Amino acid sequence: MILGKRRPRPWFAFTVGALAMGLVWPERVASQPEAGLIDYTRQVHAVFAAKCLVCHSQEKRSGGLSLATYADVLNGGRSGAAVKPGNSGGSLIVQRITDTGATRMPIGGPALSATDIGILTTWIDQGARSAPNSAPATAKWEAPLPLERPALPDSPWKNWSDPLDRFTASYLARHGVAEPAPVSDATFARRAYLDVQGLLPPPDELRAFLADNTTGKRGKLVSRLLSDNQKYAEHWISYWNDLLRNDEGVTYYSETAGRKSITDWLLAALVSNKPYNEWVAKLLNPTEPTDPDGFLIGVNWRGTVSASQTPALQAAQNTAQVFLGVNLKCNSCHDSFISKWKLKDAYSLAAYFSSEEQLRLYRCDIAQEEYASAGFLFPELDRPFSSLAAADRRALAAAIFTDPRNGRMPRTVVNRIWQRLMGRGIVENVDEMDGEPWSPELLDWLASDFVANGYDLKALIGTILQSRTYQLSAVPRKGEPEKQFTFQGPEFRRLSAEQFSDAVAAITGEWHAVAGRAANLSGRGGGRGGPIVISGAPSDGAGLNPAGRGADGQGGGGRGGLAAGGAAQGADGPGGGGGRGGLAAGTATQGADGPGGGSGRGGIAAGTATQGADGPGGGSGRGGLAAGGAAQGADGRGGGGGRGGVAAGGAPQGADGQAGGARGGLAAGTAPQGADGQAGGGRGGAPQGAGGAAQGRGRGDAAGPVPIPPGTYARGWRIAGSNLERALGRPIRDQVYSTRDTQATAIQALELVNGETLTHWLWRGARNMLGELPAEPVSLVARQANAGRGAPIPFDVDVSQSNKLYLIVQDSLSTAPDKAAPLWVQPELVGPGGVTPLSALTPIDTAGLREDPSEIAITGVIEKDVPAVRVKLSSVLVYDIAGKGFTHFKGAPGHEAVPLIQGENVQARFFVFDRQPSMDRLVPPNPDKPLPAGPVLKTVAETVERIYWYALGRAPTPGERRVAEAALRDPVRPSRPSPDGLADLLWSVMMTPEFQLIR
Amino acid sequence: MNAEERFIASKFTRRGFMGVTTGAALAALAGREPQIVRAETNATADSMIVLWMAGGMAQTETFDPKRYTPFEPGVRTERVLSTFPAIDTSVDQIKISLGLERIARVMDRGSLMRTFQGPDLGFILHSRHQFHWHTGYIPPQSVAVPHIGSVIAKTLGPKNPTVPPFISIGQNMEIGGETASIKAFHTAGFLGTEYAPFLIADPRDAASAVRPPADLGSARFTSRRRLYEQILAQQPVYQFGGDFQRESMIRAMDTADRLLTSPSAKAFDLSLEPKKSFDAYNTGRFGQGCLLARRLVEAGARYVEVTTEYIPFRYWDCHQDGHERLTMMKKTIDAPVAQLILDLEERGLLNRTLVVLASEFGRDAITEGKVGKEVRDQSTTPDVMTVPMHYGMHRHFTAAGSVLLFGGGMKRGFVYGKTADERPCTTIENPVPVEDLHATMYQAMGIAPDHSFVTEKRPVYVTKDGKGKVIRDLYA
Repeated sequence: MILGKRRPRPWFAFTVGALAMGLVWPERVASQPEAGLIDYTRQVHAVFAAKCLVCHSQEKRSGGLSLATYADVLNGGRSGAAVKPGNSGGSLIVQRITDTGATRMPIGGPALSATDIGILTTWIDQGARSAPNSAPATAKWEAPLPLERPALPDSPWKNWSDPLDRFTASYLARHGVAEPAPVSDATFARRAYLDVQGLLPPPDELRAFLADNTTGKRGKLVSRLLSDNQKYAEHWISYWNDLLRNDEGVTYYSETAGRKSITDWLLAALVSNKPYNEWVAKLLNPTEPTDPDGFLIGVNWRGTVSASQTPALQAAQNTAQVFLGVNLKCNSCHDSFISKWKLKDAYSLAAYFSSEEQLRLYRCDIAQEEYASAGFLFPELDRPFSSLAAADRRALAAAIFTDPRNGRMPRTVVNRIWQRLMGRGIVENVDEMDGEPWSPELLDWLASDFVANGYDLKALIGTILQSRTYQLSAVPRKGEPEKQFTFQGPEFRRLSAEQFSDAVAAITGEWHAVAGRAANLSGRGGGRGGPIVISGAPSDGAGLNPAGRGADGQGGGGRGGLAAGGAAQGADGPGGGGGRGGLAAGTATQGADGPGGGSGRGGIAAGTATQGADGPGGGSGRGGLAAGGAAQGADGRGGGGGRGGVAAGGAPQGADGQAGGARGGLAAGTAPQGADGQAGGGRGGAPQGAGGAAQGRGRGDAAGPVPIPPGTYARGWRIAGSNLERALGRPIRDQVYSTRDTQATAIQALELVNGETLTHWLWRGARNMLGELPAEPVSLVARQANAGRGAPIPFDVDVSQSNKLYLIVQDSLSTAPDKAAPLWVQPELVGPGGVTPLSALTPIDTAGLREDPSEIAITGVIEKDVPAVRVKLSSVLVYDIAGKGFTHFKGAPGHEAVPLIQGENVQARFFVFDRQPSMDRLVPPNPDKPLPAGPVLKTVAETVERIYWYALGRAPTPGERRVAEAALRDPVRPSRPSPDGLADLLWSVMMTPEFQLIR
Repeated sequence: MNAEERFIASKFTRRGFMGVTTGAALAALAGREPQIVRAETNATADSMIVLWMAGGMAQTETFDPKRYTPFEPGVRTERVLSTFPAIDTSVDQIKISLGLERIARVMDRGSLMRTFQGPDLGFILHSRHQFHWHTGYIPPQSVAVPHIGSVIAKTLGPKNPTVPPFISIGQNMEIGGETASIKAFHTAGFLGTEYAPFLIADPRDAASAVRPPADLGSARFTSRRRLYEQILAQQPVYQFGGDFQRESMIRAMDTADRLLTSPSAKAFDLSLEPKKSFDAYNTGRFGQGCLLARRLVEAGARYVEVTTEYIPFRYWDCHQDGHERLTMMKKTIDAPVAQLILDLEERGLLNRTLVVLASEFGRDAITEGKVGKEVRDQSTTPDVMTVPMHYGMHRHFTAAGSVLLFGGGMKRGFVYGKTADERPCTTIENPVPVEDLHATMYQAMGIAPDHSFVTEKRPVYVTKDGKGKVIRDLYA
């Protein structure tokens, strides 16, 4: 309700009660206000209502100031507090109403009467009380913009001498707290490992730390943990992914500004501990191709969007929230009702990030006759433009955000890090940095120390972790409002989804693998994201990686590299999976640089003598595949929704094929040179080559087999979208998440109790810990073949030692699985007695066969009557060939010629095994794991010991030991722990709050 | 009390749990299956089932038939309004499309809304329209908006505390191209994971969702639970004895365990359904999903959604061969939808259960989007149909779509809204935007259209700006 519209009540309505209480003078009769306490509601508000609310209503908020309610009045406006309780002379509102110049309030109206002015000044000097019987108001907290290093207070306690501790010690002493003792070494170590690396302390390291009697060992531990760049980066990247809303393999099909991952850049920035101000500048002003432009691009869906959600407005909201702790969401649509920010503020900030110099304002999606040009939220930091070019505006924004006079930027980030480490911010809510810190001096000291250290995030974390303050006992989270909060120590925190899954993997030695994804051969269809998750242990491998040199492959969910085969040199194959993955396989791969695959970039340079293959494309991003004989400088872009390239066959040189849904290329055949083939839904290409092969055609036939890239063992953050991680609170990163929902819920507990992911993981993990996980068989054939592209490529494998054959076809995320019609083309067994067609044998189970009496038309095969076995898209055919004397199995993976329309594809992986494989581990991952394997456990006692030390950071109590040992005893084999018992013990311990909480 | 309840009770009293407990937990402590809780008093329904026709259900081929034109080579596409003849229903003035005979016989149990309006979002993306339909908001949004199932779960809570209040059946979350965008709205958003959907991708696996994992078996499942209790009991109580976080984690584990071991868990097991009844539903995954929805509502589910499943270019999303495809789709839905209505009625549940059958938009052979707001074409429909592949509604039409509303206080045998009988067959009376449809659905559950939640200090309303209008005409 707009109070100004209230009908004035007759004065005598107030007088009886008020005078009887002897408190106030009636409204409008306050000729001697000093004689009593001014009543805000009756006297002060009446002045505002009559004279000020025309402009300073909650709706209009001229200058960001509303005078509609008491809280609004004390809140102030854009220029800060309007009222300073007890100090009318210092109050802006009094200065403005008594001003004599053009800015005298009310602007354009008659000045306030002396009586009215008297009411206001007296009220303020009396303490700006909300009611006569309430206490004087405390001055509203006003977050300062500049940053000055505060003087260090004296510490009341001898050992609290670090600068940080001197602030908290004096704070605690002021609040009547006696000098507290730090937590135990074991508790400290568990905290520090989880906070720096996201991993539990390995038992041997923990025991060594506990046994260490030297002084300063905690500080040394923190330094040592921080010095492992990779482990630090792979923990903190989850936090920054949430905050910068970065994800892999997520696309909403915007036709103008598709979502773009910044994972490569972010991981590198964390690994190298890039100074935070440089990092902010890069995010705001990406200039190089490797810069993180995905942050400003934002989250865009296909089709038209609300004016408040254009990329530029999203950039305004996100840069303000993430870097400055300012919420511009409301006022991206209309002037905010809850803060001082106006529509124009959001548009002015957005104008730094737009291609347009001026942005037209839209109020609730309705165009206004008002335009905004670039201007900063805090005008005192505005700088003149060198030019209005888009690049210069962005560069200017980067300069303003990182201006040393902008204390808001370092305060915001140190408060975030503090909150992540301590559970609650010095300013809580960390996204609203106008809020009052419980210790402004501490916040400012941390921020200025951070700046003095060159915006060094690791140094900041080190400073906090080495303080006595961090080493205080944890306190329960109460969530009380700011006013009632007293800092007493860090809060109990829950393990994040990634910390939980990394703990399971570390304890069991059983890591998930992410598979690098092959380029989208079909060059059709929407891109897709997310690496395929393969769980399980490594097999004995396939002789991979014998002589990789300087392989810098990036792949899997993030990056992963595999240089396999003869002599890969400097293979740099970003791509695959959700991020970048590279596979340089075969002989003599040099400088293969194949970004592409999956949703990001992935490259495969396979075959012989691949040089400088640079094949962005595949999936929704870029993926490249240079396969076959001698691909040189193959630059194939296209595939899927983005760009993907395949240069396959003899000797493509400089093949630049763009084709696919957007652009993707398949330059295939014999020796295309300088082929520039653009094809698919986008542009058609023409691989040109020696011998005239494939000239003028949109695509050639792939001549080399397409291998399936092996996976890479990875930490939890790389694993996209597992039910377990989602249940444990990993968010959908469409919004900025500065904190996660760590609540325990029934849905989450159901996943933990009942989910296949964790159950199966622990099944394998327990066996792995006991050294009883059987080695995975190695496939005889592993190929990707997609419908509609290329002729079947034959294989011929030795089966002289084989008793059974497993012919497996797996879907590889087809968009049209209902159209799939995979084939084993011309499968034959060769023995001394000649050739036996596979169809002469009956599989043990015929469920995988596809019954269809019609004639088979095979993609890429002109001849009729080529025999083939029809199988389902997901099928396992098992043949018993024992004792039949076969020496070779020949055939080819293929597909029936089925009509596929735009957006449809059928992608299948074909495998031949001669022992039963794990279906989730058909391709052996690269054997490297994030952590070295633990010892193989032999006895019940040592197993119990190991679990308690690793999971909980302590020895079991006698009672616990008794219960746990009973669970591990196996009546069948008394000397060895039971694998099922171990899985159940692991689960039981992991379900306890002691495991899941960081205390 | 049995041993487990004693255990729970001892735990909770020892650690001061009673101070923070809930009605459900108290009921569980009292050693009985919690009672079914009624919704708000002005509600006309306690439960809701949404039957989701994912991918754009062609309205002129289903519930809003127009002039039938049989296929013959050379027929002009613009002439073809319906590729199926209309059939009579149990309500005199209502005709629907051939292939929906069983639903035709239950039309007297519900209302048919023919004028649902998809929003104008430019170049069509199914999952974006589905996001909008399921949240009331158009992505992207600056806050994570919740699914209507989460809104209902949050506002009304579970009806039976051992049955998750929001169950989503039939949507596989890894669907290739639009995987991320499907996931984007199957979420409770800012309401928190507590109100997230309980996902059952395949109703045939529903029992396994509440059964001990296959690797484990039920004997080990029980002994593992006992081990957990012993481990927990043996753990030294640290200085955070009464911590809410700790207690809520233990409580969540207990709630999950209770669901798995409670009588309600049987509702998930379709093998317990008599064969005759099972067969009446069993047209495949969707049909079994409808059966599962009925069983869950009987057990006290609050909000259940069953989808035909969205996968780009499959099911209702036909860009060619539309006639053929819809013949199949109608076979998939006809029997189970009708049986669901009849079963709910027979069990006395239809009065208090709102069943809504809907889709993100309709389809047409000519218009993409709306007339006057046509958008980029995505189908290659020729002007003249030469082969059966061309015969069908292959474009995305947002100017009219059909919605069925059964039970839960809705009128019976009633049609709302009118569409033109000639192309573009657009809405000519009573257009219904999603906020009005939602307002009507929420109102039935006793939730006001301007009910709101506060996030980041601002209100977010259950219908856009709190302005969804309840369509009173639909209420009996």
